[in-house]
Amino acid sequence: MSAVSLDDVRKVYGSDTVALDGVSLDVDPGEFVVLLGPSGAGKSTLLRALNGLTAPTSGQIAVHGDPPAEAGSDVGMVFQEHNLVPSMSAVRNAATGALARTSLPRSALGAYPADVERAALSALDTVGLLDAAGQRAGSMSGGQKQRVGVARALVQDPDVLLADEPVASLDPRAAREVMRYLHTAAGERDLTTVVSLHQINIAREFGERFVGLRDGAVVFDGPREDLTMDAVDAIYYGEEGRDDDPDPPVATLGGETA
Amino acid sequence: MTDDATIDGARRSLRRRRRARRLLVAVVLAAVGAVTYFGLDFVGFEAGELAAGVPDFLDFVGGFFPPDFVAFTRYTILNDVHGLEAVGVSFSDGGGHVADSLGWEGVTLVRASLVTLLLGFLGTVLGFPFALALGVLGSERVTPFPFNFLFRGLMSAIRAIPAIVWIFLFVPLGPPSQPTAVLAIATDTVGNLGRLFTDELEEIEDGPIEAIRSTGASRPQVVGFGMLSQVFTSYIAWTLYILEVNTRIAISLGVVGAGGLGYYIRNTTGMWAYRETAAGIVMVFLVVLSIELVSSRLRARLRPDEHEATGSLDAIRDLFDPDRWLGRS
Repeated sequence: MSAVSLDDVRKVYGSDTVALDGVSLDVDPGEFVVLLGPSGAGKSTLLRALNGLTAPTSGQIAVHGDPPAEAGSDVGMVFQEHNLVPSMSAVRNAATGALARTSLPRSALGAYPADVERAALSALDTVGLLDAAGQRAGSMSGGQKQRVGVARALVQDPDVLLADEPVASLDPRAAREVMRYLHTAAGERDLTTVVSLHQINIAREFGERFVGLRDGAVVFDGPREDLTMDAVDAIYYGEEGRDDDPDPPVATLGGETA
Repeated sequence: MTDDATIDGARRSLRRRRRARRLLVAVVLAAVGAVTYFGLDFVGFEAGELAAGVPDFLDFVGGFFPPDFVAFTRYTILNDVHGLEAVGVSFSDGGGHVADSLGWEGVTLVRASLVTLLLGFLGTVLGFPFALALGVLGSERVTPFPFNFLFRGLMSAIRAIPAIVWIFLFVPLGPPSQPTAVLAIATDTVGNLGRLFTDELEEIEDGPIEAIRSTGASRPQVVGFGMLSQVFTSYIAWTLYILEVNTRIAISLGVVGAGGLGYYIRNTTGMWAYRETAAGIVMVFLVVLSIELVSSRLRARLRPDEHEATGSLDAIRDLFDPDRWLGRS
């Protein structure tokens, strides 16, 4: 059985904004999939739908055979803006990943069971932040924050790990570092991983399978060898390619089109 | 290239908009001026008449000096020690006279100050849980629209009535006194603090909420960790601010009989003992200023944007650091 499967999924926002237009996709357990595509192609919507944060307009989504809303804590998510609580320490932020299996009174008092605390520290260790466990999230660097974000998703003990442009707001070095931790953790824990990325070089470095989205539809699906420059151009510029871009950004500087 | 005509067109439209804005400012200023002018006449505000009373006023104020602290402690009352000397004498035995007065039912300045402080403090503490409950439920993030307006409306209704009116509404429970003053201040706190809590919740970031939701957390956990954790320090800061406000309210409630410094001031003016009234006013200054200083210092340290990585513990530690008070670090 696929770890994640989408069958003819459509998502329409409002009356006519089509975010996903009949997407079908199967991801095997343990696969590391990179989503590529221009802004507005539907990458975030796809990931949010997989996580049950948004419901598809039509079509079927299954995570290990269940609808995403029921999979709940089996699906971990890393967000672009890390979404940590700045006033809480790194370890407390990581521990929030275990909320689903912690009773309300215990979590409200911050009295997590010993195994959650251990899981949180071990996840921070995985992302190389064990020494900074007590540091307030708000005072960390962008790369560190995102590593705490990864740790939080790991504490959830998920089967599926989703990441929505996790390194888009980081400098290249921090971006590569975060991706390395994320990739290693996914490998060690045998997680099925779907990551959306904008940086092609980083994508090629870590991805095994690539799925290109354009205008809400899958336009590419293949391994690293097939992801040629032409294939990338086709994902970002469409069938006509970069040269036939009717409105290339550079050419509009003088107020005339090329 | 864009021709000059287009640029000129853009300039003209900008200038039109600027003119319209200036006109609007002029109209608003004229309206404020007109309402003030006719309003003063309406309420019978006659500057000349008031000015004629200034010599009398100065004479009256002169009667307040020098302040007489005879009622500072039981000891100074019984031994008839007057003026500032009463303060010195009260502390001369290492605090025994002060402690003695705190335990004595009679009206002394030290006991009145303590009562005023306690009225403000107890009202804040008792009002806090209800303010928190209503404030959180009043937010559209927690309670779906329009049901959140049930709670917002309740808080608005409470807020519309000042504490000094609440204490009279509580007359069936007892005459204006220390217990009903605590109730009145607590009620006022629910309306004011709750509203601040609601507003604070409306402005938090969506990201952490979504992140917590994605972990499969329950609804109360999402509220607690995604939302309340973001506003924790500002809630403490607002509560300290309301504590300041409540201390001042406690003084005004004292004037209508709730005890404390307000009560002392009313009694002494009633007996035309203005020099003793002046001592009460000095105590009001000290009480309000010290609460304000402590609270504003704590609040300044709690604001995360201004002081990166300062927790509540550091804030309390700073309170006892004289260098910070003097601005040396």
